[in-house]
Amino acid sequence: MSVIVNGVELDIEHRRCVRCIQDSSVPGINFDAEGVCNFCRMHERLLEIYPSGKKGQDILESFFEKIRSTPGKSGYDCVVGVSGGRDSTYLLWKCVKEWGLRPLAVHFNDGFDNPVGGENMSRAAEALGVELRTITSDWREAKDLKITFLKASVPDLNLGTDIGIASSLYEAAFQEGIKYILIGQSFRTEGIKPLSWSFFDGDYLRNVQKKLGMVPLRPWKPGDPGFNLGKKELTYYTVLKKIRTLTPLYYVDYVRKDAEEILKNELGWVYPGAHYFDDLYHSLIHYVHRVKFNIDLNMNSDSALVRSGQLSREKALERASGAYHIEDERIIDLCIKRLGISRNEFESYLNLPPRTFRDYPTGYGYIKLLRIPIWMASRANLLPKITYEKYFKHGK
Amino acid sequence: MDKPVKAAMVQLLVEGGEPERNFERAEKLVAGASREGCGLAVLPETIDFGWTHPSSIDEARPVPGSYSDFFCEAAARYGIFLAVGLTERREDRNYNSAILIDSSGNILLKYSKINLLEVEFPYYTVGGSISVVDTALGKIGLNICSDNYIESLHIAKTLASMGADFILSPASWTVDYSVAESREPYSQKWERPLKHVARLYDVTLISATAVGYIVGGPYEGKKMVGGSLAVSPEGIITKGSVNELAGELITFEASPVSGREKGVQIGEKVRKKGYDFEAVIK
Repeated sequence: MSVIVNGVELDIEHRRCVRCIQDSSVPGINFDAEGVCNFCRMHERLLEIYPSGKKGQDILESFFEKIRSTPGKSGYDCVVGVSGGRDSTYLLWKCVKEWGLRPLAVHFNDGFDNPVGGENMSRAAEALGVELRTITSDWREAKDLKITFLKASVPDLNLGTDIGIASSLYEAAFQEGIKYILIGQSFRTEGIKPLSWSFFDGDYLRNVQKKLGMVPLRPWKPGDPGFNLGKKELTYYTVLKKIRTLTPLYYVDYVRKDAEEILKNELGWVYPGAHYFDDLYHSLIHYVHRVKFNIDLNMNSDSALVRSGQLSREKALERASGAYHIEDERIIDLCIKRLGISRNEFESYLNLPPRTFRDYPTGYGYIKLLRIPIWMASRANLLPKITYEKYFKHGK
Repeated sequence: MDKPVKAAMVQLLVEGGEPERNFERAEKLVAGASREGCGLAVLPETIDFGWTHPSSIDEARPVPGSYSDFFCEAAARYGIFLAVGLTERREDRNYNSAILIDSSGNILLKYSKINLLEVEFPYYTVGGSISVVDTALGKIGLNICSDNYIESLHIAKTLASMGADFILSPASWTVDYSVAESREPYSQKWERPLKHVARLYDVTLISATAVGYIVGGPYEGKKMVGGSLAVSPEGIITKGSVNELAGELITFEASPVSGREKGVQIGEKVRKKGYDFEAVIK
């Protein structure tokens, strides 16, 4: 028996979790005596760390009191990261309509926005009376980072965008003197990715770009971080400037279907076509993940929905059996063309031997040394609480 | 004043190198303009490939051709005059062109940009003619984007001197990537020249610009953020919002000025309004 894990054929038995649909292709997965995977057990732990219902509401209200009492220069009390997708739009709606916050909506544009997402953001901001601030990447850097990570031959193909999103939220918070950043993630609907699928580390990004990139990244400034968010920059924002990042939807019984109804009715929100498809580049990512690494991100998020009772296991298995519809050949072509490379060049990157972040210099050693401070910081909401679980308690 | 025209600026999201996707969005907004009772819609510059996108060099189409046909059919289908900017292939050269189409789908006027930026030289050839056309809406002339730079306002002034009631100007105004919505993006760069011509020459200028991120060519690192402008002799009629993410339809009413002067009378009128012709040649 063999299973392809991160693009490498391993001599292991193929197993699938009896509760969710994740299987042995997920790095770091293991199964207990009942046949339940460690991701499902992690979900159970997260339900304890992040209670919903009355207890969750009380916790949120204590956060909101602090947020409301520390407005920034322009009167905004929090930065909310938005993409035009369902989760972030719903978070923005909740902030305004239910939680009485005064958010500044911040979007990071890296050149692959789905126009449907752009329209959603504009409509939502107008309907909710919220300022939408777009922080745009320098396309020369953003494009080169995308090509660099194809050359690096790792699954973290969107690390530039992920770092850019986070740094743009810190940028806006810094500029406006805002102490709280809210992001629309929910483990109940998205799950947690193994480290090697999405290793969020600004030092890793910088090192890989130095090694393989063609365009040097512009230097960091607190109010213009660009793609710089390594340990020094993160320390500056979180420790010196005391900017905290919260994930309020973790404390909410977030049901995607219900959220969609609200957004459609109240904000004229339009479904971008798939989860993550507020970013067109996910079409290409999904394709590369499937054909090169045997990674199915959709299996990861559908498993979360199964655990939360929002999708039946049978339906999730059915969806996992074929190529996910986000893999639209026309959009993949658009992505390749937009990067300014030929199909042949793209295929040549696909054919490189698969690697992971462990093949490059990263801040992982430093992160491991900081295990206890990271635990403390994540429990004190200096970092998202899930940070500790992701780096130390989860898949490889 | 003659009968007012209900008009629209189609502030379109233009994705570089993606004509079909751009056209699909354009048609939706044109349909919206028609539903709102507009008789005229002005779209941005080179909405097929985007301004100076490298793919336009080899993939530009003739006018008339399949891309202009798309808009002729749309004009007829929605019963609306359209002014639209397209990359035109003509005798082995490319031009940054704009066309005016009537509500039956006929091309009434074609113009190719004259005041090209240096970065455009590898992409487009300088246009060689300028004219106006009588229509049911009034006399209309076309120019394009940087034709309205202060140093090339003679183009708009010539159109006005030819009797244009309306100068329609497809555009792709750009700003650096670092400019956020909270800042006025153009620092009067476009307002000043448009207001100057409109006031002195009693003409209405309608300039629809694009929104979107520039993803190829010499202007990588810049973006288009809208802020389309309609300007009458009395001042700004309306503006598009500043936004780089989503298209917008901006509708308004504009009236042609009746009983206009001709020939040397125009110079006299302009002089009376305070313009010092002598100072220009000193």
